[in-house]
Parts: sequence; structure tokens; C-alpha cells
Amino acid sequence: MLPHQGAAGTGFARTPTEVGCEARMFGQIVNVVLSGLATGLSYGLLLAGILLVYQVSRVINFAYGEYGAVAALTTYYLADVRHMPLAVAIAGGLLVAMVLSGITELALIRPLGEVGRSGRDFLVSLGVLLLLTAGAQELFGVNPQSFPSLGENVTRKIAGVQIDLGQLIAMGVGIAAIIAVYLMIVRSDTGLRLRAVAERPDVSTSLGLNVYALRLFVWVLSGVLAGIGGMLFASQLSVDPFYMTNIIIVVFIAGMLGGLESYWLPIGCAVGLGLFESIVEYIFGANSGTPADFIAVMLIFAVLPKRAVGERETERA
Amino acid sequence: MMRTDRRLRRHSPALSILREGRMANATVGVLTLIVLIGLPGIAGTYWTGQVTLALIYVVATLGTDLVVGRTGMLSLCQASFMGIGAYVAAIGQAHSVPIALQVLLAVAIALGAGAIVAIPTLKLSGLRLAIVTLLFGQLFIWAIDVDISTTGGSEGMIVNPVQMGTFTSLSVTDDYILSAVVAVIATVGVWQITRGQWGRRALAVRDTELAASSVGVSVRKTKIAAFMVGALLCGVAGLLFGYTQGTIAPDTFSTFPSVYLLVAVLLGGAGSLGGAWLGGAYVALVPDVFNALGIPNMYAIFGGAVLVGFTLLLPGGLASLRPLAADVLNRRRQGDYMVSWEVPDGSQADRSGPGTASDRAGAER
Repeated sequence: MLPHQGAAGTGFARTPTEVGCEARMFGQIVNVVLSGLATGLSYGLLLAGILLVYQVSRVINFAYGEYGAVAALTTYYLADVRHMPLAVAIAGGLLVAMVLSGITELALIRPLGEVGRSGRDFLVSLGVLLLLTAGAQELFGVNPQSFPSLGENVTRKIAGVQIDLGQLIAMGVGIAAIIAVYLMIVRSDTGLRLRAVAERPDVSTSLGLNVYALRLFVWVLSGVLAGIGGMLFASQLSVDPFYMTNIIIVVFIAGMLGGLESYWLPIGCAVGLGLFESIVEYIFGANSGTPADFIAVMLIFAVLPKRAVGERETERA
Repeated sequence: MMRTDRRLRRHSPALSILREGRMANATVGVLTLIVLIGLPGIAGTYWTGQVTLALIYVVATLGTDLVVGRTGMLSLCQASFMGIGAYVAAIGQAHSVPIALQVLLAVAIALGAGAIVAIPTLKLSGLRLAIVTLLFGQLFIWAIDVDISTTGGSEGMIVNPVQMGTFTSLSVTDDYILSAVVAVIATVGVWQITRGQWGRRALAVRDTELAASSVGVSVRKTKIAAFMVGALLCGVAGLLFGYTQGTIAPDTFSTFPSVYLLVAVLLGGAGSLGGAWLGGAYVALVPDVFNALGIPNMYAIFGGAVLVGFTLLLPGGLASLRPLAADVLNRRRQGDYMVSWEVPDGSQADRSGPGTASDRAGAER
């Protein structure tokens, strides 16, 4: 449509009402995109932790999302109930997530050994999910609590569009964490060791690398990422022992679609899924995200060949 | 020597029967039937109701075991199939739909849902499949929440009592008899299915799809059939749940109850009929124990501990304890045999005498 045309393209000059409608529409579209990007980048941040653990330890940790929930609940408890400064509360929440993730690897996954572990690790992590969810329920109750504000509902007008500060923070933190993990893997000495362990753990051991310590490091780091992701989502929603379950399913689907062996493709899928959900919810209503995800996944699996969905090895229950 | 041979003849047949487990299975089956028949007369109303719930979960656990234990597909949406049956019962009763039509609808919808969830199984396995089944579970809860006027949303629904001839779902004994009959039929049905050609195909697909395909087994058909029959059994369990419990809520059919059904399969022992009965009893009765102790949340914690503990320490579940016990017994018998392998002059004879090797081979089996 040309700038001088009216809404119906009749060639007449636009009325102030039409201009207002277009500006509102533009603002809504920008907000939908920003909301989708914020959600998608938060998904990507969470997925980065799953990818790290999978590529180094070959374990899919289904309790991963619950570390985030427990971290957010701890932060809520320290900040709102114990009235500690928010920074201290966040640090406390992240510390809890790190410890839980580390203990899972050390006490439950490591004893499974390398041989015949496939499938059993998933069941163990499912057990940890139950333990953590029920434990959080016992400690914090089942009622949703409001998480301390990380900039939500604070709006700034940028280029004529009202933008939620919380979304910008989520996007910034998501981008920073995703790039930081990538740089750590690609540029740092630790990353080099991690890649060596991911490629050949047996050879790495014989060359003197401490494979167990490196794996523990990755699990602890993934706990930090889960904690940050959990807090970002908690600030947008509310926090209870179950709120991360739906979120982590979408994150796993993104990993499944992009493949757990690479980095940028699954992260891209996570961001894409966030955008897709946001657009679908804008068009069809707030509750349409779940069926849209399911239909999209079913269509993708119906169309894609088996090797394209990264199903290289069969893991059995 | 003669004395030893007599001992062997006396012990070996019993040991081999114990190893094969046929007599033990038959004994347990007959005892279970006797207890089932006599229970309403012995137990009070409350415990009869709880055993009814356990029998319903036996049917659901059998369905879950067909998918998880026998075909090796990690499904985390079996409680959703139960939910389909329960909501068909509730909505059907609310609209005075004839019972036969309700049953047909529940079976048809559960089979259809099983077929839809089975589509990704053709390309996925392990965790990837589990994630898709989880998504289906979320979709089910979404469907319940989206049409509150029909389903009652998160508040759930009341299921109007069923009256059919002399049967009434208001009677605990009637509910018990109905659930017991369905549980026994389901057990016999699953036993027949799994001991036949399909059961062997499912095991082959579970162990190695490539080898199964190479000998002409249709992996696709086997997986879809497992999912559909599993969904059917869970749907029937849900239907019974609705009729006998009187109220239903989406929480009973969400992600975590699906995990509890998986816990039930692993606790009892994947691929074991007896294990499914133990698992069903666990899901229905253990929460009661924790409720009685005043720590209801402990059920979920206990479930997590069971999942972790059994996966790490007893992957074969409780059903694997019997073969283990048979092995221990066998070794003890062998020990007796070796001690008694003495010639009258007091010197010990060669241990590789008749019977020893076969007993050892038996123990290894």
C-alpha cells in the first residue's frame, strides 16, 4: 500500500483514525515479534545447557527444567519472604541449581557407567524430576507466587512503540548467555578439553584429561543456565513447582528438531518456536500455543525423513 | 553314588519347575483369584473400594507395559488415554448416552488417539518419542481446559451413577466385581497376545529393529499396534475410573500420573503380568499409606526414589526377584549337593560329576 493511499487503497488521503489504526497495528506486530524473540531466546538459553550436557556426557537430563523452577522458587523465598537484596537472592537461587545439577551427575548418572546407560539415564533423570517437584511442593507449597520483578510491566517508548523492559532484558540475557557458551566452547582451553571429551572420552582419559571433573563442570554450568532460564520465565509468569514442565517440553522439541549434536541449528529452532508461538497466540488467542506446537511437530515428523530428525541411535526404555 | 543320584532326582525336577516358574505362576494366579473372589466378604467397604481402584490401575499398567515394557517405546501420555475414557464416561453420562455407545466411543477415541501418537514412533524412539508423548499429554490437558462448559475445566466433572439391570455403580461391591472381571480379562488378553506371534515380534522390535526387519517383522505395524492396544487398555481403565470413582479431574490424567504409571511398570517389572498387578496396586494403595501417615506429598517423592532406585539397583523390577531367589536357592542346593558328594571313605570326589554341569547351566539361564 502506498503511503498516500487510504486503508482501502482508494487514493484518498488517510484520515487520522486510519493513521492511528496503522500505528497501533504496527505497535502490536512489533510487540508480538519482540515477545516471540524474548521467549525464543529464553528457550535458546535453556537449550544451550541441555546441548552442553548431551554433547559432553551423552545424557538427556529431564530434570533440567526443574533446577530452574527450584532456583526461581529459592530466589522468590529469599527475596520476598526473607527480604534479602534481589542480587543475593538470585545468587542463592543459582547456587541451589548448580548444586542440584552437580549432585545429579555425581551421585546418580555417574554410577550408571558408560556401557548400557542409554535409556536408564533418562529414567533416572525422570525420577529426579519427580523428587525435585515433590520436594519443592513440600517446601514452597503448590500455590503460584509472584516472582520479584526483573523489569516486567515497565514500558519504554522506542520509535513510537511501547516496549516492555522485561522482554528486552530477557532478550539481552538470552543472547549474552548463548554467545558466551559458544565462545567458551570454541575459544577457551576448557572448551577445547570439553570438545576432546565429547569426541573421545577414552582417549581423553589416556591423555591425562580429567573427564569426570570436566563432565561435572558442564553439569554445574548447565545448572546455572537452567537457573537463569527459570528466573526469566518466572518473571514473565508466576512461580510454582510445576511451571517449568511445559516450557522444558518445548525446549526439548527445539533440540529434537535442530539435532542435539550441533549448536546454532537447535538454538535457531528454539528462537523460531518462540516466535511461532507468539504469532499463533496473537492470531488464535492466548491458549493456542500448545495445540499449535503439537500440530507443527506432528506435521514436521510426518514430512521429514528419519535421518533429518537426528534419530541416529535407538535408545530403549 | 546311589545316594547322590537319588538326591539329584529328588531335587532337580522341583528346581527346574521353580526356574521355569510355571508352577509358581499358576499358584500365584489361583491364589489371586481366590483372594479376588473372597475379598468383598473379608474387607470392609473402604478397602474394597481401594482394591477396585487398584484393579483399574492394573488394566492401565498392563496397557502401559505393552508399550514401554514389551515394545520398548517410552510413552509418557498413558494417563491421557485414561483421561479420554474417563471424560467419555462423564460427558456420556451427563448427556444420557447409552452405556454401550459410551464404551464404543471410549474405545474408538482411545484407539484413534493411540494411532495419532503412534505416527512419530515410526521415526523416533527413546527420549525424542517420550517428548512427543509428553506434548500429547499437554494437548489433552489443554483440550480439557479450553472447553470448560463441557469438561468442567480444572474443577473436573461429576460422573452420574450407572444403572444397568441389577448393576449399579453406587454399589462398591458391584464396582469391585466389574473392575475385577475387566482386570482378569485384560490380563488373560495381554497374556495371549504377548505369548503369541505378536508378542515375539514386539520383543524383537524392542531389542533390535534392524534384526526384526531383516526377518520380515513389520516394525511399523508392531509399534502402531502396541500403541493402539496400550491406549485401548488405558481408555477402558479410564472408563472404569469414571464409573466407579464418581468424580474426575484433569490432574488425575496429567503428565505426572503418566510418570506414575511408568513407575508402576518399572516397580513391578517391565514385561511381566505379575509386575503389572504389583504396579497397579502400588499406584492405588501406596498414596493411601502416605495419607494415613499424614504425609501425602511423600508419595511423589517416594515415586521419584523408586524410579531412581529401581533403575540403578533393580532394573528388572520386583518381578525379577523371583528368578533371583530361584538362582540363590539353586546355588544353595548345589552347595548341599557338593557337601554330600562324599564317598564313604571320607575323601571328596570330583566335583564335575553327573548333574553338576546341568545345574550350573540352569543357574546361568
